[in-house]
Amino acid sequence: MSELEDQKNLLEVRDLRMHFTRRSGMFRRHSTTVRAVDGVSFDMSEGETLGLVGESGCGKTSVGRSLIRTYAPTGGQVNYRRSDGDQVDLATLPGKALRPYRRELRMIFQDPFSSLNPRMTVRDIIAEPLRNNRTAHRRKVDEKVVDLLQIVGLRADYLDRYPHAFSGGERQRIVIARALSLDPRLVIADEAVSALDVSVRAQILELLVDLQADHGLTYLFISHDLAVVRYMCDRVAVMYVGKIVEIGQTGTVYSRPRHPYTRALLDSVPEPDPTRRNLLTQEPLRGEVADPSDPPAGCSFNPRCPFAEEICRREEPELRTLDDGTQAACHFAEELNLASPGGRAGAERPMR
Amino acid sequence: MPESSDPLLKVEDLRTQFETDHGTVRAVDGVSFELPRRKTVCIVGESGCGKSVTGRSILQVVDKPGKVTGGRMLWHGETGSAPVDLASLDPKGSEIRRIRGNEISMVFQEPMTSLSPVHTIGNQIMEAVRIHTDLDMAAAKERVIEALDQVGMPKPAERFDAYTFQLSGGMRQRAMIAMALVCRPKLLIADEPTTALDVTTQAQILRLLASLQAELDMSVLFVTHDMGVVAQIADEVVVMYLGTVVESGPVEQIFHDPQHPYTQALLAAVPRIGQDRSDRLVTIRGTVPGPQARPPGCPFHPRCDHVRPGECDVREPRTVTIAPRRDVRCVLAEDQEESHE
Repeated sequence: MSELEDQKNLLEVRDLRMHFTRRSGMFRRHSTTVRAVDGVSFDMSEGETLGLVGESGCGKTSVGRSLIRTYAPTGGQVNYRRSDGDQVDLATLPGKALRPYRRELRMIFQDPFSSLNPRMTVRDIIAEPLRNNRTAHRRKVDEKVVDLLQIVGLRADYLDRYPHAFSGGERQRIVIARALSLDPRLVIADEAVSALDVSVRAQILELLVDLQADHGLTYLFISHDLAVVRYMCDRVAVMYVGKIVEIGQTGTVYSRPRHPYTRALLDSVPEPDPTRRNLLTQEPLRGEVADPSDPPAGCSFNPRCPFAEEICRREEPELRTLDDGTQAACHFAEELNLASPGGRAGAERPMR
Repeated sequence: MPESSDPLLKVEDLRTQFETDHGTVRAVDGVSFELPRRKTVCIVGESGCGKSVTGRSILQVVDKPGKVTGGRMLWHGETGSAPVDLASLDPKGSEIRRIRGNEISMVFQEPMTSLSPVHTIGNQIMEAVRIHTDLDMAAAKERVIEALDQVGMPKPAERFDAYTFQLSGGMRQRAMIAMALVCRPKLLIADEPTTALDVTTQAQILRLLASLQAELDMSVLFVTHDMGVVAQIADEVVVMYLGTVVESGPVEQIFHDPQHPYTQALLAAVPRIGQDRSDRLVTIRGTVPGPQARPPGCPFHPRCDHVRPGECDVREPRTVTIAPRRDVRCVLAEDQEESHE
């Protein structure tokens, strides 16, 4: 633990908000606010992998995009520690001042078929960020591109091919090479392996693990796949309707979740073992994800929660630190025992 | 009782090919398996292995220019009568259309592409009822509402008049399942029906399918790439690679005693919950080759750790039956068979 305290955080996100206004109706008079990210705070220390999990629409991608300022956050801070030790707030920095940080924070997208320009060769795709940022001399650019291809495990004679000549796994390697070209410090991987076949997915995951060790990278690993997150991440944050409901060490959260939603997510993962048919023997989570433009009062999860009480419909729980270091936003985080599938209420609170 | 032990569907040496400008693509290349009554068979494999085309071939709804070019698909819908060979039927003929949506129906991965956006879900489902039964309007509507209720659609009578855009992803998938099941089929072909859904919704839909299967006494052919889903729902598993069946058998045996190197690698490449980075994933080298670049011999040999040069890259391995209902297509299995003899 002392090691962690010595380390300064690379990123400190505070109360991040990303609200989208949607207009509709005649003359677009009606407006609704979608609270895609609604008060998210977390830290990332240098060299760690933080997983961000949740179902579609929970805001995990919006968090990633707010960090790299593809979206301009509508509130909160993204405090980033520069290599000289000073902190800057990326959330409010104007466009021009952002440029030096754009190369330090890079993103890997989900679909390698749409994130590569089909009219550019591999050489140009990887060299483009180098040229745009004028980080290397023109002759050096080619050397660097060849280096990068080797790092991600592609042959140098592929340089002048176009993306269509590559399989999904190879394209994702090109995407990774492009992301690494500017020696980033933080890489945001948004569903980076979700579109890949299992045999190829394992290759890319192992590549990401090796690259992290070799280059001292910090990863924000956004995924809906809990097994992959368990494998990749030191810590994990679980999001539900724009908020983090639980965050902690991956091993602790998975073996002893403190929020009923985390428990439900874990119970929904089909175990690859026919003698343990968890999906068919357990009661599945009822209902559907709440609408982020009209979340229920109190805890957003209360209409689906098997343990919900009166207070859950009235008061929104704060994210708070528990005895084992995990943080959870549940009124009954201390009382519930969610260590086993399904979970059960504490002795003093019989489950209704 | 010979008639009840007959499988509902017996696929023998099925071949489906696509004639393209760049040559013939053998999408399904000699696939054989049986579908027992009231059981769930999962076809599992990676993209391009021919699993979806196999499912579509059964109903003769392969996308153009694909065509079933060989093999037999013996459909034994009614016990006591002679089986029908679906492969011999005209894809546009009346015989297959009588079976489609009635005795055999299908659900797809993306409900938005298979449901009409301009018709209410009730009317779309009712169309199937009107075609395959002689119920009048009122009775047909009642049947549809009953089907919507059966798939767990809240307020089914009101949702009858809903359009697809008014429904969530999970509810659309329920509507599609209701449409598939409204005529009480004997076989449901489900092509990746939960792949586009979130895990909690996937769990709901899989549970729903399992309970409906028991209720309606039907067989399910479930096409998926997800080994976790296979382990949860399958009775029997067919593992495909590049248009061929590499291994098939009861689910416990496939997961606990896989024989083909591809099946073994596929299982080890999936991280299990609880596995962390101290325990590395098994990777399969290379990638699935494109349909035009099918390797000679065993299609898996360029990626196989047990490859024998001069053998695997020259001839296609035989399919060896190593136990009842348990087939492996690999030279390793051939060796074992010979050593037993």
